[in-house]
Amino acid sequence: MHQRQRRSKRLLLTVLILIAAAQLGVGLLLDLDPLKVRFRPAESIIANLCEASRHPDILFLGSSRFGDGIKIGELQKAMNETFGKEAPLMVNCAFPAADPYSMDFLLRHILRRGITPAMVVMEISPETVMLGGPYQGGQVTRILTLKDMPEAAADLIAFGKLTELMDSRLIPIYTFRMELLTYLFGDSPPYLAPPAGILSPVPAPTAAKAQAAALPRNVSRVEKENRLRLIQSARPNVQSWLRGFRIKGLNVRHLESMLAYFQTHGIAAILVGVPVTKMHFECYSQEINLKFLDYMNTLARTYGCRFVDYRDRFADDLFYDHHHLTPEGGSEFCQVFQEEVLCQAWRKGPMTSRRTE
Amino acid sequence: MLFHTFPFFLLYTITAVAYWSMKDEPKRVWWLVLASIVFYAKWNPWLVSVVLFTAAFDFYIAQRIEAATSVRRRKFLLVTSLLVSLSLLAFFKYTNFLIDNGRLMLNLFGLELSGTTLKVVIPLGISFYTFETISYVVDVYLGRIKAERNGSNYALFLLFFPHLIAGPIVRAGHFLPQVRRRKFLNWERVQVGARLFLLGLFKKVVIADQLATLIDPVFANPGSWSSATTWVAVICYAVQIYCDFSGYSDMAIGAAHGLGYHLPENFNMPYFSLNIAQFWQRWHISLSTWVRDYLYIPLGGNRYGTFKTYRNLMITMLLCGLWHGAGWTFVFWGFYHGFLLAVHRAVPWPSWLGKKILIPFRWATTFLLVCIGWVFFRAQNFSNALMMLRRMFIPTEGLVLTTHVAMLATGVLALVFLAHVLGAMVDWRKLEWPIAFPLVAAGMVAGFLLVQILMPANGGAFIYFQF
Repeated sequence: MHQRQRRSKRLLLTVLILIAAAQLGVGLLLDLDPLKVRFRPAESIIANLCEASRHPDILFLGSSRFGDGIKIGELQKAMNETFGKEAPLMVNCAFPAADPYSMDFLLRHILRRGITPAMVVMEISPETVMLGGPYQGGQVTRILTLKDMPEAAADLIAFGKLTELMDSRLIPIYTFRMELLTYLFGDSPPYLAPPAGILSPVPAPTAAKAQAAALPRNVSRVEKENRLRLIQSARPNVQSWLRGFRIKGLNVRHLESMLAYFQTHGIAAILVGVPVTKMHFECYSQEINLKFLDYMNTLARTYGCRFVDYRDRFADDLFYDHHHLTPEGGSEFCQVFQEEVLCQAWRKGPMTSRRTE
Repeated sequence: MLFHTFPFFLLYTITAVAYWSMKDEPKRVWWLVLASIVFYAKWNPWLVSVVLFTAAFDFYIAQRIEAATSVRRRKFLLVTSLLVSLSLLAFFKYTNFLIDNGRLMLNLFGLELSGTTLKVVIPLGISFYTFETISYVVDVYLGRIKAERNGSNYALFLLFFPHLIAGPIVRAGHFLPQVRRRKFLNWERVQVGARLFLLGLFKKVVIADQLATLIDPVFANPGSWSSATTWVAVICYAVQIYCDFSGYSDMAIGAAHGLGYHLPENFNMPYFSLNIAQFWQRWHISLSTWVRDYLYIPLGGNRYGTFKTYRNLMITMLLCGLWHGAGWTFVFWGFYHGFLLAVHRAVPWPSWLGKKILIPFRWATTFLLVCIGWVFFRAQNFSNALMMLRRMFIPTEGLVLTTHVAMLATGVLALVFLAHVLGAMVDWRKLEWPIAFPLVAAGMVAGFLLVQILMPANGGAFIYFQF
């Protein structure tokens, strides 16, 4: 009887130790190179950059908002027409749920491979410079390693991401199962759709997106109403993102560290207040707006970068949800941005310094 | 809080560690009651009050029944208790069903009933704990057990978190003596519990949840699929519901073992039943024995002639169907099983059917009949169920499974069949000691890691939670 008790105890202990060891081991292996398994979109961006025959002159860094809004082909064509041989080569490095913390991570990896752009255009919005921010939980899954803990843990815990933090450290096999299986088998298994609300705060509705892509600007009244309803329904979500708005934390530190690097290395930087719908813009209260604009001015003064605000410049029917532009909206945004900002910035900045060299 | 989620593991670990470190048995009972309330409140803090009200009310009524001297008063108290329990169940579970059907009836007479359905949140596990509390009051009334005098003991009987949401349906006569008994940490029991829990997790995550990806599209749009695919989906559903529910039961029993409690077995390889009567002795045993003891026998059972026996059988199975869900498809499923049981009882089966060589044939026939019943159980409505049955029995072209889904289905079905065959031959729980220690440990670790890797993104709620 005692022997059976002892044996059972030993068995349970062994199983527990082995499970803990497996979790720890896999967690450490994943930490070695987060790009390989956990952050595949970033890896493919870097791979594409490395494979290109020429290094890009202008990098666009942003989230899916830039992914939809920046029509890089159209923008490149317009720049080629304006500058001819002196036109910059541009690459859109947007990836889902990007914020300054994850952009800095990607940028560091790009720079490490010897790719140094002459100009960086970065997406910015109040929600991506605030403490926490909607994409922060996703960064725990994609970026955070054990050695980042001293810097990031306090911020993440303060913003209520303790569960994500514990999951990623204590049960990495479970937390990163989709990433692991996708890495091992090349495709994500059917039972594991990306968890909504983690990597993308409002999952881009693919059906709506496809429909929007097919819709001309003069859509019917019913379609307009449907789209408006979809936009309005996101109000509580946006309001919850902005709750307790404070400009500090991981995003701010990484944004400033990037800008400081650009300043020291002579890389021109443009911060673009990304277009959003009227409803989304209304969620930026006067106080939030003031703080945000004040911070942007401080950044411009301190790091010599430029801030351009496109947040409330486009009509709602150019969006397929509250913060993603339709293809038509993207074209319009690119045209305006190219005419108002990009041409001038390229002419005055990197192009001139190249000529001087 | 689902059994296969990290918060549950955390809650369970904290509960078990604190529980075994307490020396005082009454304190342990209170601790488990508290943990059970937290477990339930994590889903909906307000609806804990409904469970607590039911517990308090029947705790009080049972004592009054025991103290009552006149038969009339005892009967009155019993009826009051049954009315309150069943009214709560009816209100939460069947209000909208009754409104919808009332409206349909009025429409038949040309009357229009305005208003929409009520927004009622059904308390999780209400069907299960209502049956538990009914059985307790009836048992006290019949003098089978003494009324419990200790409130915490009774609360634990009803609220004990391993069985609170989806059973097994425990009886007071089985559970309350365990609550009163002094318990000692038994590592062997903890280990058996851990293995049972792991087995349940495996059934749920590796089998049931994987099959759901194949089944759901077919049942959602039954008109688009070929006959072969429809057959595969129906067979897979039979396996899914078995693995989902028996997996839950295994986890519940395993979790209870770890705290020194024993819960009754709920499944015994039901798909290896020789006939439909045997199927009901092996499927959801705690429910089938409950309806037998508290419905079929009180109605008269088979004591009052052939007609009444069949009548009682049909009433019992119809109510069993309705217990599962507020929908006519569930009622029909109950009727179908009642009919099969009646036929099984009525037909004088030839003795040669009992030959050993025919056992696989009898298994297959029973399984096929059960599968037809599952179509009604799972289909969203009658027309979908009939469409599926038409496709099953009239060869029809349509969408087919992709190779990788077909392989998944074949693999999973083969695994379940093999487990059934093994289970029929040996009691795997006794297999433990002859197997080398490292092999058992490695098996447990591999099983746990596989479960983690295959866990669905949305957590995969248990099918029986809706009942």
